[in-house]
Amino acid sequence: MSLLEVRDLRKTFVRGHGRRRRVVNAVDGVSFEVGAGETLGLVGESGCGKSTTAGMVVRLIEPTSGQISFAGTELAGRSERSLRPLRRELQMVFQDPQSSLNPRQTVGTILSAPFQIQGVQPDGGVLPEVRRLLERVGLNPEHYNRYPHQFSGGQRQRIGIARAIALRPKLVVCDEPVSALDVSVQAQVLNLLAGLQQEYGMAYLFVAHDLAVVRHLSDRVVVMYLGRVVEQAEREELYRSPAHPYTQALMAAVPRPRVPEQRKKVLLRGDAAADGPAGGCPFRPRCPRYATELGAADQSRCTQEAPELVPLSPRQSAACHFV
Amino acid sequence: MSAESPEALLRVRDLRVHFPTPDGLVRSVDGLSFDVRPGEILGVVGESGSGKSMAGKAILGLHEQARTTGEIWYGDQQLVGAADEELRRLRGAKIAMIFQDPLSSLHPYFTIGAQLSEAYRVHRRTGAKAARARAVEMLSRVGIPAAARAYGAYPHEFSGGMRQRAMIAMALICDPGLLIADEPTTALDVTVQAQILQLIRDLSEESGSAVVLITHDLGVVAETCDRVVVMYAGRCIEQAPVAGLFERPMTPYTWGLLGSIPRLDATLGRLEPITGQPPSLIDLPAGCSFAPRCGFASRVPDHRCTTELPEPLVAGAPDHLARCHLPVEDRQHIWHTQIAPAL
Repeated sequence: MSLLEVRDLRKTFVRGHGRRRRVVNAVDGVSFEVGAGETLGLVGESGCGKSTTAGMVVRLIEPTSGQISFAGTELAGRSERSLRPLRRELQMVFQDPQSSLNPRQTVGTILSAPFQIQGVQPDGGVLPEVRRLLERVGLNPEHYNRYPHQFSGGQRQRIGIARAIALRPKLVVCDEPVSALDVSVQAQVLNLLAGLQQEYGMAYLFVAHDLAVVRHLSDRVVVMYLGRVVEQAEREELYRSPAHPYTQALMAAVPRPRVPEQRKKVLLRGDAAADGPAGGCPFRPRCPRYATELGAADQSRCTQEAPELVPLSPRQSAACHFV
Repeated sequence: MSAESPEALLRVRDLRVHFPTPDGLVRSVDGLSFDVRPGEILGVVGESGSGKSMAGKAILGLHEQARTTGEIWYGDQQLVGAADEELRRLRGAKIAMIFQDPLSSLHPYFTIGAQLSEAYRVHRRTGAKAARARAVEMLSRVGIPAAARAYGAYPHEFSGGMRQRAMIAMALICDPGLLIADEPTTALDVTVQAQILQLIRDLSEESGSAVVLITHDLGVVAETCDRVVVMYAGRCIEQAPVAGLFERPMTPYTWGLLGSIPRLDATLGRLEPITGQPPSLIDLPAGCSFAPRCGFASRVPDHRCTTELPEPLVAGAPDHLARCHLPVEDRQHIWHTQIAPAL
């Protein structure tokens, strides 16, 4: 049994009123699993629903429908109160350490909160444990009296990570944890996350837009587009032979810090419109395969029928009629 | 820090941008020199606080609180200390700028078309009709579909990529000789970023405009620029043609940046990040600003790295300059034997 099982998760937002009322399917039937000690990368561009999905897994966002089963317990539909014992096992690291740390609390207060809330008394007391945590994430243990603004962005993200791992959770949901950081600091934080996982054996649900960062940390990867999973695969399979035309285009678009070989490349046209086309494959309006390779009969399949995620091998599946 | 090139369109010499603050003098840019030739795309790359954006703003004379010294020559016109009126005439007409966030650079109450044609009318003193025709032409040149209809749209009706296209159209409407693009694609998705970078390259090629592309992303530099200036703590630490920089980078800082970036085409074990943090710009270390974080400083005798600021010297190739006390042969050896194989 997997640690986390997400089944047919959906979130719809309603925007506007009256005649301008629109329903946006931010997450439109997403399913995946995360095994104990494993890292699942969730990647996609803005508006693909990856952060909404992460928010629903920790129940910061209420799902419209679907199941979220964590360590054998169903999370969807449960009251906040009854979720509380589970929070010990299920933590989150946010993108912006500035807004996710209370500016009026010292780091010591921030890091002892998990122990107080969960009623956990660490061996030797809370303060020594807080110092151990600070040291473990690469900060000076004597700085527990300082406030968040006295730290740099990278250091603040280390504090956010220390808070998340304080109670040794089984799963940490990381929502773009390094995208606000400079590359040299980003590398330090990625190494820290990898080291902590090795030490404590927790699982990560790692949400990011940067494909290289996701490759670096993930065992398996889910690629999302307009609220749906378009491809799901083991890391090496996905990066060696991406199957879905969107995954292929996404990888081709990433600029590489290498001696340039050839600069003109196939560019994806347009951008992901917030609501996409009515019916059919959501990627169709931008799909190079649809536009150049398919005959009229095949094209009509793309316009009428939304592709399901089908396995191409035991280690890779894609949602495209023509992979 | 570059060889004299008489054909340069923009020449920056020993530029300093200092901000007096209650805590002391912040040296955002501290002795920066480079050239940009017509039709060339120069990348200025660095991390936050390296001074890359400050340098870009100084070229446009946009710092009111700063003490700006040194020389900025646009053709034969000196921009440092130029009168506001003169700078205003240059801005938009000869030198244009695009910013990271197109939404905050566009006025939400006016249509895209009105904002575009205003720039043209002011600088070219033409009538509304000619300006409108020019604006529609520019909108279609930057790849906005149904340009005539887009002319009447408001900024909020455009997606992020479309807004950045509109900004580029606005920047280029007067055919400026120089475009300064400050993180133009940082807020955009990677597929849209690829489109915008391609557009900047195409337009620069067509019109012969020089471009200064300010970015934190070495990948963007590799795929877009002709030459690159690497900045650290307000100074240019390395400057080279793009191929030279990525084939044989000649400073430990550039090695550190390259070692910090996860790869898309390989699975790495551990990244090799630069340890520590950049220095405070109020209290720069004596000697090389990177020395406190540099793993090779101890190899240089007499503590020169911590006492003496290295000059930008030719390293490996005539157009490749680097500030580093390590002997050039040692650096080449370290790069080929230790750094490059691990990347």
